[in-house]
Amino acid sequence: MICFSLGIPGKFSTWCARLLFQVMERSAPTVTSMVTTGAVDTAALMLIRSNVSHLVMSVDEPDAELLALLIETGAPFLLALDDPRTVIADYWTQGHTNVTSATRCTANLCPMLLNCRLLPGVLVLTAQEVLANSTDAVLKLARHFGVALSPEEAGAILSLLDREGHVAHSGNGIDTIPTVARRMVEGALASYAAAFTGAVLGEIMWTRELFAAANDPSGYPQGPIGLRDTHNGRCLIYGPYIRLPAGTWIARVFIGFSSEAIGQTIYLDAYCKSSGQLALSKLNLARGDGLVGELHFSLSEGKTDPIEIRIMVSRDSAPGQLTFSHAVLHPSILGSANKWQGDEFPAVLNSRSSSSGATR
Amino acid sequence: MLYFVIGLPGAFMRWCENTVVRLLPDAKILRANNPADVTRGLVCGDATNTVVVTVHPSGRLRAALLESGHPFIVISDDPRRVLADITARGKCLIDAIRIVASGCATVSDSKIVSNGLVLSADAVDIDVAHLEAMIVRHLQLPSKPIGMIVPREATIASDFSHWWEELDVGERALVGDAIGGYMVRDPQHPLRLVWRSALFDVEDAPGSSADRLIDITGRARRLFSGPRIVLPQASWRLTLELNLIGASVEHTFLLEISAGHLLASRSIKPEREGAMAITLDFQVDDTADHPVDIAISLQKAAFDGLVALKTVTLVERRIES
Repeated sequence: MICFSLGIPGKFSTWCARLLFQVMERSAPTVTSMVTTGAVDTAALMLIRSNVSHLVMSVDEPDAELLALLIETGAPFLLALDDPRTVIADYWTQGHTNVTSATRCTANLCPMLLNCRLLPGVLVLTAQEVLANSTDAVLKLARHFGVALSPEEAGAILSLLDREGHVAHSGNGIDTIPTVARRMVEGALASYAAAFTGAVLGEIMWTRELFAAANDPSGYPQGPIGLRDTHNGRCLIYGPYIRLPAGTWIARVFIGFSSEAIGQTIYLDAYCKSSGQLALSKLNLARGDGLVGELHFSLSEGKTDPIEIRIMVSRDSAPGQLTFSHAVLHPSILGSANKWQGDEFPAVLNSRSSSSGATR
Repeated sequence: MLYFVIGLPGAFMRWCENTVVRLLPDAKILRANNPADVTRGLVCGDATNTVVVTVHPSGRLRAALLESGHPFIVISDDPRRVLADITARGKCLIDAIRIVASGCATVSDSKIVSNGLVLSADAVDIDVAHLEAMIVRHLQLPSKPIGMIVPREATIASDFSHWWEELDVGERALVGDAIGGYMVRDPQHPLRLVWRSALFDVEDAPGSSADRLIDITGRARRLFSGPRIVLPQASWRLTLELNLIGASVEHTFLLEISAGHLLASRSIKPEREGAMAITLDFQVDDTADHPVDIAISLQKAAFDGLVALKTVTLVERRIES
């Protein structure tokens, strides 16, 4: 038998994969093996080459072929859902400093994992559930994969995982992450954390740390950017290359501009590789220091490549400066006011609430 | 655990696969020619043992099986008898030829033959108990058979001459050209196979074969393709014979040979009306994960012209080292 375990790479998904391995070993006295990769063909070839009876595959990023196979066959599989913010916190405490990249990678996995909750053969295990009653979680997993297991045997498996050094939950929370990165992590992942426990997916915020300035892609747009500092087709700012679940979305992009920029025109657009340009919005920089541009777009199932939001200026050598705070994305069933009261346009940089915005 | 039975899918294959299943506790049959099919059959995990029955294992499946050292059974049978069996079970002759020719490629594979236990349907003097004992020994199965021995079907080693006589001259030529080379295989001489146009499909008319004149009028597109038959791993020389009529000589065509990925291609620029032969060399190896597909495409839109595919001849190339 081939068994798949899916989840965001981290302590909890590793613990779950090891748990599945131990449970399957109880079901067959012959040797069971475990690999970590993500292709349908690879599973069969591994099983044949390793000459074992069962194969447990821990998959970091299942491809379309694997998902199609799970839908088509209704095969039982394990979905390990930890709070994605905890995954980032663990990543940080292990000494990895590129929290931005980790946030982007984790956010890219979340839509797919959310969809997997709906597949016919899924067994969802959450870290909270395991913490509440680990023996019950083990027995539930065994039943799902058709393995007869007693509570005593479940306890023995848990003890073995402890001795091997695998932990289901590290105890690291978002407060472990440096303050400067917490807003980014919280904004990109908090809604998924709730959705993984069954809540409706809510608002997602992509802070400027996830974007790049066209004239200096090595960093993020920290301060004012001159409207003449464009690159590659009058582009000023672009990013964050993060996937969203299929559906209809409203993106609100929070921008500030200097008085010299009044009268200029900028464009916002959203783009993804499989669908091309998703939405385009033209904004005239009129009186005031800031505005919120809106983009309305839809993503079809199967066409959920990473999203790019771009801020572009309409002409070369335009005067003035622009600041970018963040983008907030709502599934379109939600409505939200977007009033913002600001005095100076750089104050946009300090904008903290998604419900704040400049009146136009 | 996995157990493999490879070869020509006739009555004898059925006897062997049922015998292996009977000899194993809690076993099921899984028909698969590629790794994805194997995974698909194993994710539901409703049996302890799985007998994987494959007629033409893909390049990667074959390589994995040989590397693993798994013992496996190779079923050898008269291809015409298997054709008679398959067509009697409802397959059309064209589809049956594709299956059997692919199976022939597998059982002619020297590595498969030398690493497996070859059982021949024509060994009529070996009784089933003895055959079963050979299977038990080779696959290292539990020595105590469970239940009654699977009786041999009357069609195993049967006479298929009546079926052969029912075929018309064209059908016999089609069969003979596609599989005859395997039946008279001589290690001293390269294998030669001929695929007639009836084995190819017209892209503009799904379900219709390419054994007729094709009007090339229309946009640039694929005109015909086929036959989707597995070839033994080797170097091959293909000779494709076309007949070009009218304005078709003014056009450029593209010949492509693929087996899951492109193996070789060549542009064809006719010089005159009438018969034309194009040669192209290609290699089939472990990366060939699908049956061989040969396609002819029109490169630019045409207002007029006719083309007919006559034959595709394949000759194994023996390259001097």
